Amino acid sequence: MGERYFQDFDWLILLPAILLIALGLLTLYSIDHVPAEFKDTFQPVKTGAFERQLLWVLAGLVVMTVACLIPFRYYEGMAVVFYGVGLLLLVAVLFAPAVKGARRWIDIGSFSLQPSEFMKIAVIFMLARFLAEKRNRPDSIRVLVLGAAIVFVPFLLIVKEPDLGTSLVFLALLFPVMYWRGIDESLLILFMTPLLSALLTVFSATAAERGSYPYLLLLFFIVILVAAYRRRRELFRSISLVGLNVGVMLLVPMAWSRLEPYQQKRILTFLRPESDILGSGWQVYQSKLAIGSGGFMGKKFLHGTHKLLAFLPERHSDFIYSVISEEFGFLGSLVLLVLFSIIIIRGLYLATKVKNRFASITAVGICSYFAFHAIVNIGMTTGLTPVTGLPLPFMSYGGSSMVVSCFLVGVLLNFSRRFYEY
Amino acid sequence: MLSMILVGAMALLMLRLFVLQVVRHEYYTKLSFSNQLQRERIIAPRGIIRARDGSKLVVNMPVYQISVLPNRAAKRREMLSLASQWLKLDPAKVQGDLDAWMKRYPDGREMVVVQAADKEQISVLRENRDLLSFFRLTMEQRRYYPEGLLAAHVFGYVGEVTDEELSKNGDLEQGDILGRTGLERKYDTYLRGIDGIRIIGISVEGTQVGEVSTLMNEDEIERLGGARAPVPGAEIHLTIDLNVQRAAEAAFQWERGALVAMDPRSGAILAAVSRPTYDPNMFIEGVSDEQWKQLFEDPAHTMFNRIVQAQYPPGSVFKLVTAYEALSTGKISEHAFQHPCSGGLQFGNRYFKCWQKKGHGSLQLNGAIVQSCDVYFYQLGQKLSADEFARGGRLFGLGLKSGVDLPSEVSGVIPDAAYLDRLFGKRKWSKGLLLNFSIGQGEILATPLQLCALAARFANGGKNIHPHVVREIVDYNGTVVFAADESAAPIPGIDRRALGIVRDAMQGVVADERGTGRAAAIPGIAVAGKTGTAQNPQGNDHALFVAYAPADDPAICIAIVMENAGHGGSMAAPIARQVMSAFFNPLGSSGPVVSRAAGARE
Repeated sequence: MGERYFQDFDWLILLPAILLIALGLLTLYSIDHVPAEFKDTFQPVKTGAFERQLLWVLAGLVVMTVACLIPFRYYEGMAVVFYGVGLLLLVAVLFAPAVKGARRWIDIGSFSLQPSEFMKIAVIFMLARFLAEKRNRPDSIRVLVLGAAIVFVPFLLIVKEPDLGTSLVFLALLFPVMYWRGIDESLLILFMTPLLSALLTVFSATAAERGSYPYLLLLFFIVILVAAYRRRRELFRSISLVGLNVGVMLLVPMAWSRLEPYQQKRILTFLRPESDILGSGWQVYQSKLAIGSGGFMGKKFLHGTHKLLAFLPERHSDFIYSVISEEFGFLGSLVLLVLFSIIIIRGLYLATKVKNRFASITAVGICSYFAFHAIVNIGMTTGLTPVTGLPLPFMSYGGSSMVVSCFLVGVLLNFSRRFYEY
Repeated sequence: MLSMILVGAMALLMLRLFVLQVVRHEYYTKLSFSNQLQRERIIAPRGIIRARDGSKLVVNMPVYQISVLPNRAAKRREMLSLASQWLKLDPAKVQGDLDAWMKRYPDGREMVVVQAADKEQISVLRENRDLLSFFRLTMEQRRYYPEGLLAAHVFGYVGEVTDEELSKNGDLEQGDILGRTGLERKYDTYLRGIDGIRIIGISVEGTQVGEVSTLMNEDEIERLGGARAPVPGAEIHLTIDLNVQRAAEAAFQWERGALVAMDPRSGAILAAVSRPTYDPNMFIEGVSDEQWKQLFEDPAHTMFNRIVQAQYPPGSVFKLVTAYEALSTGKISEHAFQHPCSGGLQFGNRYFKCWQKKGHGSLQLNGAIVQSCDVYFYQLGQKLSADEFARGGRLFGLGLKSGVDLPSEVSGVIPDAAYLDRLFGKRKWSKGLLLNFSIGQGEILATPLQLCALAARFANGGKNIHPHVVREIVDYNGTVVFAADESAAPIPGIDRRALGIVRDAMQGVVADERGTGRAAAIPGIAVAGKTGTAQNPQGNDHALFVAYAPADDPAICIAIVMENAGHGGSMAAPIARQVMSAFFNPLGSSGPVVSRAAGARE
């Protein structure tokens, strides 16, 4: 068994993960390090982030090992329990004291737990378990609605915290998993297009304010009409498709105009952080400065300058990528993207290879988790995506994210060891 | 399919990183030194002021200011005191000032230590830039008056906006330069232009990284509230003729008084002198309390623009008005003799003296003006009413603001019956007052500018002119945004015949061998004028003279008031001659103008 153990163990998942964790630790070390030439300007601030993160990494590795060793059927069996406990915690957190206007943590003794992180695992398992059942192929509205419900209940609870960024992760999980399970293409379109319509309508509304025409929305509308026409045989779905989208396009502006100006502004800066550089777009702006000034080769390890300044907030956690990019340059940034891509692509490959349906769907869920976090986080630091507060897996400072990421890698490794099991 | 989406997203991120880190690397590197983007004002260059011939009378000059960044300097006390020595400053004083400054402004704003740095100080800072990074060198455009004292009162001066003004006017900003007096004040809005805005980066240490707007694209600039180039202030083109002005400044060698020269055809002021004068440049460098006191509290009233702010009794110059009014109302005829002058006239219980004790004998109007016989005019004063004096005076612009484009103009006084009733009580004033009026004494007061405008109206044959010093204002792209009214319409109700008779007499004042204004004569050019010697409560008589030339087609007229200088004929008339000579002979190479009447007296 020993030989087999190592043969089937997917090193291409483990190694990139370990490398990313090590890079993250190095970066946390670097952030608190003041280069010699700035010694008299900056008092080094000892945040202790590096040391604490080291402990979290150790904890994470233990969790990874355990997750890898437990037979995965156990996860399938426990999925409902996990999900139930997760929901309870999410309800409980709403009664916790607010930090900066949001209730996201539950204090347990000396450390605090972020139920939404835990819930991500629970939802992946729950969805996988639900869809793994033979009769639950998502080609019927019933399965689709039930599957969506698994996601939407925690989604709404997290929106209530409020933590819009994290809540979006759940929506992001839904579609790849459904797709993987063989959702009917027309149903996928039926579900996804209203969301895109809503987004495009808000964008168009702001574009119209700046005096440009909503070309994108128009184009999208034409695409929907074409799609509906091509499926004219399924009359009900075609009509629903057009109806839903037109409804959204009409309702969103109405809802928009009913919002208070400050609410509108908050949504706008969420969507377009750069519209307010001196205000809420500040972090993104500073992050872009750090990344851009890194150049092709970077400023070398420990020699980043931007990290020193308090004006890159969240540089330990959400914006850690900008520090890495500053010190390691374009090359380093690419390496990071490649490492993440390897983990995800290997995970997706595993999903095709593994024989158990639950494991296959779970693998896709986990890959979606990593992909969504990495892309949205890096997109945020480069000013492409809204500032969501999503951590960069393996790297951002923070226990919950580290342990969850390690656990999920452990689960993937677990599948890779037992890919032949039904 | 899922892998494809992933690869697509990753490629997008890579593209983005490529743009940030490779394509726009330079831009972000520059920005990364800044922890702040600030919108900084680019102060628009103040419009310059030019003379009639285009030469620059008021310009801007770059001045370098040295200031200290308190927070950084406080950490390097020793270096600061060493550097102070290098900059020829008192180290103890700089330290002390800095401490007081930091207490007063804890926000770390810069403290100016040198207002106008010399070359040596600038090079010390430039050569030791790294060592002396807590100093900042800034360039500022300061107002500069290259001609110094010349026409100082016309230009006025500028000063920095005060806290009080800032609180009253929301459009102003700290550091704004405002016109305080003269043209600088009157046309301040034209001169100021529109300030520009640029976006600069401020580094962690509080030093400027420099302008970044040039590296940003339009969207980014727009988001920061925009950047724009300053619009320079408009240029003012004056009617002042530098040649005439210089001659006037040179000729007016008297402590107090004023001179105004004008083109009687258009009202364009060719020269304007107010004494005592001052150097407006000293307001730029900063005026000490002592200097301030001297300027604003001295008995001579240096800052007072006598051209439009001082009112003098016109004395015998007013006889022109008396004569015109008596003629046009038919009270006298040109050739009628009045009672002969025997050196005075008894009226009621008062004896009114003529300046010529031995008397002028029997005179017609022409002789009375030429010799300025008081007794002749007393008799006209008996024939005229107060309202007739007022009507005549106003016809020639007395008692009314001329509307000249210099601030703080006063209106002078031309009393009518109602005015006298108010002053003395109804009908309580004696007819004797009018005798005084007839020779320009008593309540009648006029500014030097009004006297010049009066001369202009006689010179141009009774046309209304609008005195002005600004010919036009031209904005930075050459558009004329303001043009002076140079029209000259006939004064309504003017009696040309009466005017002509007085004009003939004015020529005699200078040309006749008994004329009081012979000192103003210029060979080859017919000069017309009228002298005045005004009694006043302050001491010696004021010397006055108005004139125009050439008499048949006047191109220049002039009014001179010299406080307590004595006789207009001997003191003021020669100055008029010098100024007008310079006007007719701009090269000034024809040698001395022959004085025909050294001892001319009224």
